[in-house]
Amino acid sequence: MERKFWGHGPGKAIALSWVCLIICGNAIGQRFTVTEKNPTLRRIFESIEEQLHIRCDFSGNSMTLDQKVIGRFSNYPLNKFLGKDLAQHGLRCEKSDSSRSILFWEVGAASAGIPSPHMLYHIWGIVMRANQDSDIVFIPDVNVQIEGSNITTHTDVHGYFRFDSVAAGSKLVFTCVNLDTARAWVTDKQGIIVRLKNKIVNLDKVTVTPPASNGIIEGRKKNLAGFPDVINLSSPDRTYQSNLLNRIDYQSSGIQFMRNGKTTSNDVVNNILIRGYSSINAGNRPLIILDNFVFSGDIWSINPEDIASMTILKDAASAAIWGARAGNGVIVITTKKAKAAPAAITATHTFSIQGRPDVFNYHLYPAASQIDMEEEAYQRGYYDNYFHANNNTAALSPVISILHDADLGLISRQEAANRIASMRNYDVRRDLERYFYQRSVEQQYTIQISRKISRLTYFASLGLTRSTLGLTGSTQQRRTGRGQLTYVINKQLSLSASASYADIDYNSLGNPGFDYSSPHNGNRLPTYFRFKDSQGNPTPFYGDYSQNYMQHLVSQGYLDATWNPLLGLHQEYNRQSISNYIANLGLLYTFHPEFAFEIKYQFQRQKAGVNDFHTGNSSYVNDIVDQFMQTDPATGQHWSPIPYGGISNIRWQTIISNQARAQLAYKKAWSRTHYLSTFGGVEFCNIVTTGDTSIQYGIGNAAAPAAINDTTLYPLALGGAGQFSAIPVKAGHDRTADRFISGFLTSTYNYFDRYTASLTFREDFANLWGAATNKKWTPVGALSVIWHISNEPFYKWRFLQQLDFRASAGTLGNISRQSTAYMTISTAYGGITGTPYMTAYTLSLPNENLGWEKVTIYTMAVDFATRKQIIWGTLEPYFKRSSSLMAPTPIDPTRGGIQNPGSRPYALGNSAGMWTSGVDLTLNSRNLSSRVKWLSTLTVSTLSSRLTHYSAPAGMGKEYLDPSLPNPVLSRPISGVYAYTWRGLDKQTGDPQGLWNGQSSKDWNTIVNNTTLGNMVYKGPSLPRVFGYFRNTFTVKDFSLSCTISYRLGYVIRMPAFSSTDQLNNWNTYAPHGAPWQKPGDELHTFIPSIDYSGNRFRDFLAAYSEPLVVRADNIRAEDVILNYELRQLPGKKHQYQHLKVFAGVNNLGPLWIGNKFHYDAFYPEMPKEKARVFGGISISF
Amino acid sequence: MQKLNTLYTFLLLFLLTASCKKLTDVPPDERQQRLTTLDACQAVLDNDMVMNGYGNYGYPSMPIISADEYNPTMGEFDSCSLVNQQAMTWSRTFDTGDEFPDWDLPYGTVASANNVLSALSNISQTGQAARWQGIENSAHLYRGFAFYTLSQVFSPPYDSATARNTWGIPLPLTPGRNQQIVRATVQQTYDQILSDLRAARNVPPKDDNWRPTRPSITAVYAMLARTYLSMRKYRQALLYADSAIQQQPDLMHFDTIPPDRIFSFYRWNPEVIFSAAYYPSGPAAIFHSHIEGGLYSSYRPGDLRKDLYFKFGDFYFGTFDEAGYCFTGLAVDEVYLDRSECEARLGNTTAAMADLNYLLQTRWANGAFTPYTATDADDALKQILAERKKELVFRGLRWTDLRRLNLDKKTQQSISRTINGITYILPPNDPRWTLPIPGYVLDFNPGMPQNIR
Repeated sequence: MERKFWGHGPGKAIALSWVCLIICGNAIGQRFTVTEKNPTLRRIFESIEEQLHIRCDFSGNSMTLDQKVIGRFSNYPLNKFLGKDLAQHGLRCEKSDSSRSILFWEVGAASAGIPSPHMLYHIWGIVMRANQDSDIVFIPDVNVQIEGSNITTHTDVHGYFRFDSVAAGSKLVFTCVNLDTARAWVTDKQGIIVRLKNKIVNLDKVTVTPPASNGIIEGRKKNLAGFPDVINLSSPDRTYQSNLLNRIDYQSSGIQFMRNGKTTSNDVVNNILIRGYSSINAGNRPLIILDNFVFSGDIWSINPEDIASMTILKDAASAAIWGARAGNGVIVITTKKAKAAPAAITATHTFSIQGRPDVFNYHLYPAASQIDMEEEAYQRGYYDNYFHANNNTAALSPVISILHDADLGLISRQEAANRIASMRNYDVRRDLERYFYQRSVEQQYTIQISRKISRLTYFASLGLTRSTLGLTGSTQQRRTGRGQLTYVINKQLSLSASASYADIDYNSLGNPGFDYSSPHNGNRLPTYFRFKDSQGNPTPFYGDYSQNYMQHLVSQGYLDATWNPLLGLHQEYNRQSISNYIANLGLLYTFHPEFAFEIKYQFQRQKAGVNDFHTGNSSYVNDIVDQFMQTDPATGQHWSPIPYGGISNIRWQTIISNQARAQLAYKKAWSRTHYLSTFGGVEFCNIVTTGDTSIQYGIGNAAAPAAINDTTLYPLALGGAGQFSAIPVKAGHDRTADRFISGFLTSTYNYFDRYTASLTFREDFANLWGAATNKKWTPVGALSVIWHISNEPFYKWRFLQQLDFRASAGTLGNISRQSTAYMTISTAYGGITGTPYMTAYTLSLPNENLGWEKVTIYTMAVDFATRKQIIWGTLEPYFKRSSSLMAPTPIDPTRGGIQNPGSRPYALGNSAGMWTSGVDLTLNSRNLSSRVKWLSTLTVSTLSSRLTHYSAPAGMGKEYLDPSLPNPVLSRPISGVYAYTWRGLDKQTGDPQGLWNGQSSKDWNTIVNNTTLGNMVYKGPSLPRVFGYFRNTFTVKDFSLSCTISYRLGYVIRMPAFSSTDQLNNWNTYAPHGAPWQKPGDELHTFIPSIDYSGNRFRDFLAAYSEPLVVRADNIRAEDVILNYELRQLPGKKHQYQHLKVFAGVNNLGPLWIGNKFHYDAFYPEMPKEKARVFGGISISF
Repeated sequence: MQKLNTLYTFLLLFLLTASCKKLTDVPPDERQQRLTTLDACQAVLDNDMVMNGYGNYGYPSMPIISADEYNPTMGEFDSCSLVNQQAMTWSRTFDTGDEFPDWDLPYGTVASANNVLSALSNISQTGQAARWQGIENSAHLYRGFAFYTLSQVFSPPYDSATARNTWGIPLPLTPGRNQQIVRATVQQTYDQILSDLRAARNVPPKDDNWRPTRPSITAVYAMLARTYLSMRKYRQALLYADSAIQQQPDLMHFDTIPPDRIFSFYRWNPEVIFSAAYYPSGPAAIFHSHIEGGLYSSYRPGDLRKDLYFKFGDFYFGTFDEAGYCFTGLAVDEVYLDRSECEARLGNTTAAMADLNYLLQTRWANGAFTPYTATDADDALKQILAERKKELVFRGLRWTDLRRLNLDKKTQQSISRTINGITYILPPNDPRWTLPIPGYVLDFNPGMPQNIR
């Protein structure tokens, strides 16, 4: 193997001095042999390297190396050579600490000697691979550090690095994962070519910070515009998470995962908020960029093990490169790429186990109290109209049913009393827990290979994830595959390609969990309900029709449509399958050392299918068949136009995206002071989503007709009597298109490493349908400046070794698809009256001023680090002004535009505005750095927001009670929570009292319906105003232990209320805290009204939406404890593996503190609480 | 170099700009269609919700609520909304709140017609002139119909003496936000209605697929008759009523209609000329009001209407709709009554009575009906008006009839209603025969005059 470790090719032309670096293996102290007589220095160095595995680094004039050294070097002691012979040739040397390398330099009068330490130099250099063959490969992301200091930089994509003021005589240390560490002297020569060799053994643990990427340009954080935030994926935390996006939680400040219990883990993308809301109606989902292009599929289709880095773009300057879609922030995901060496196979397995969800977190009114209440209501005649008016068809709760049967004499009073008495101790949650919930287990397997064969490097990965979820019968499975290759055609041209696929299956049964309710009446399981009776038979739930009525129907020839929670479990199979394919092609053409031209193309196709299948004997099918049951007037026979057999509700959705980009990069450094990097390009993006829905009847029934007659109107039987309906077929087709044509230009300029300025400019043309060209064509731009004040010559403050000031400002966009500039219509057949005509409905009124929503962000920041990096961090205040937000504006109905009678006509326009401000603080401290290392990280983020422009008039207060909607109120955050004024419980009756006309009032109907927004009490936002996390990591040798605590402060949540009408009409109610008012005096310590038998829903409504039920939601939670063991192969020892990582931990440890006296946890509002999850994993590289 | 680079980029962007507009002019959602084809225009007019008042839409129900065809019980009155209670008692204060379907919905119909008319002006007639014309004519009929219903509520009754000096309704004739909304005079209002109706004369002929939700020439004539009658221009009304009958003379014989159905009449029965429904609200909804006692008892034995129109006692179920939408459209029986009245007004007693008897004999049980006779034209008119009230009950026409009859001393009358022991009276020609413009409309259009009340 020939070692060409010195100047070569174009590098030599640039190089004024150079360093060569070669691998060494064993300790110093041996002898070497040079076969020829009077060898050159170069030959000697080669021999030392080859035979002793000691690297010889040389700093000086390369001509020196061609000097001949007089003598014969056969079995020559190294020490002797270093001591005597070198001096003769005007060289000196220094052994490295580990004695694995020797640095030589020239001495004497030559200028190449060690420079005077008083001088500061501006230097730059290029790091390239010392390859066996003649290819030039520049190495990006090499960590370049001035030895003995914390001043570091990284090479960019073209291997370029620079320092603006380095003391002469300093040594530069080059480190890069998988490559050997190298050192070089700083001389007055500014251009340095460094060649790095592949690492054969891992000598040092290298801290790997992945490269930042704004999705278009990848490189060091510093070289990108703005302030991208790189997520450290190598941190062991949460590595078990199968959803990629969960890995950014507690890794960056200013990002919130909205957790209200209603979201599933796979839906996480819609619940990430980057620095609060930016829009009212256009959605707040951040833009996801996967491998340079917008990703529009299911995020779960990405195997997290395939991800190399993630970057979050929060400020205007970094996100501006994504222009009109970046208003909510951008999450950039970069997958792992082929690596040159070493060839490696990595296998990873992780698992996690989580106990059955805690159903008892779901607070039910106790069985005994429910029975008392129902008995009382029965005695008072509350249900009388059920028995008479509805001809005994109405569904009755089990207790009322027993009482009524006793009254009718069907069972004895004693029997009734006994049955009811036995129910008093039941608790339906025990059955829910037993039959509806299970332990969840997740296993993930990934195997990856990375290799280089000649000019081809490739990476391949296969992954499998299988999970059982918390609901019985729910499973999910993911199979992923990814391949990536790079082919270097010649020095200037390289091709890259990748392909990936993912197959996902979600399966679930007819298991609605704790939310079980009857489909027509919405009756809920009473607390005293049991899933199995005392004989062990599954218990039917007569939630829609009474038992007598159902029996009567069955005797008439109807099907039995009784719901039965246990049987129902296996009468429905819900399957969702997703397949996702992505293919990328790229071409890089470096036609000039300063220019690179790149073309990228991506095709993505995701097909998702949902099949909700109900078996032929299920209550669901029987119920529909019964609804449509017809009576033949001649024979009196019943028949149903719905064929017997299973029913499938099917929906298909296909997303096809085509995206392409061409870009030109230019990069140049001028002498000592200037560095300029510019990227410009154009981009095309077309994302088409199509969907099809259908219902299939008669599955498994050979006699079922092939086509369903969906035009005939049938009179409905059962609950729908008097109505006519056609058989629902839901055959539908929809198609949406997002099309963009964009151009961008971003430029970063650096002066002396003291000042960095960047300017980004992008314009997007989108299919804002019918918008005037000047509105479609909204250029967005941003500017950022950085002042590295600690690099200034005058900066003398040693305590704060690093101090940077940053600022950026710019405008981003958001697109609302809610309106177009045209009046648009959609068509359907038949109309209301069933004409044979195609009829058109107005979809949107013309928004004559249609345009982008604009988000202008101002960011300032200070980065600081104390000496030796004991404390370092960032303080980043920001202000965000959203304008031209799509919002409804009332219009004069005389001009038309009414959509629904009963609501005022409005038109959507770019009319609203919002102001958001906050501060993100990240503080790191190295508390211990001896044998035990202790690192702490604290983040504090604040957020406040208010609407500044909103022209729609405030509605009635009751319209602002749903916390899941944006509640747009001028001068308030859109996440505001409002409540009725509370005037306590009536001392005599325990009735709730509200405020009307300045007086305490019990006119609940009036208060509920007529209280204006202005008279509602604003209780605070439902989004935390202060949040963050605190993490401590302890490291001893190869072990590290980290634990994370998170907190959210300054927000409120509305607790559900006890409701008499819910209990009496729907058979169940919440009982979150305490008992209802019972006797005078109780009003002093409860706000739960007395039980009411009048059936007044407004009374319950007022109590439910009054002030006392809105409580502080603040909480501090223990998130996780993770133990990590990581071992790299040690020198001199042979292992079967190169790298081994084992970790284990537990997360979701629960709240440490909750800011309300009810201990009401905002993470699990009236739903089963998820338990802690234990996880572990192993990753091994060969 | 950098300058050059930037220059190239800008050059590239500039070139793209030209093609970008075209490339990005695609709808974001396939369901979104523009009004750029005749099919789309026809489909807008075929929206029976907006154009005919079905679904949760409807033409004004105030002509029912304000008229004298029903008497609410105390409970029924209490359950009514404030607006409806004000209308039922002819209250001097009249607050419509934030929205008033009687105003908003017909103007929605007007806007749809305007959208179609405006879209048509950008669609070529070449090769499709007949269809183009048919759609254009249809749009005029819908607009004229909507303006008419609005004028019966918000404009004073037509009196040729004062029509040029009193305020009618706003008449928006083009779509868009930029036109000014101002009230026209009563004369202008009726001129516009008539001009729209006349402009609809070339509506397409009926084909096999035809449903009365679409205009027909019969509808145009019948509507012209209705309008001229409300203007008390009996010669013209007679002319158009006669034309309509020429087109569609057939009446149902009520003997053939089974009495056991809840809704006796089908939506598309042979008498329907043009389908339209009013907005079900308060007492103006099926099964929500007891018919006025005197009216109910005026149906004599043998008159089949008593059992076909009323079910569950005195609740009106006689609408021409099996699903219970409240019919206020044009029907043949109305046109016969129009022609009959006009003949009487013009002194043709025989012709008047012939029409009346021709109609009534279909309403009575076979053989039970004894044809009416009249001593003179005035007697005939009296009988015709009485029968008109009975035949067209709850069609939303009574209010208009009362308004026009009040302008004639011979036929004017007060109407009254007793609720909760209080008797409310509306004397003839009181300003309360016209409803005020909704307050929010005045807010949008400062300076718009309000109706006196």
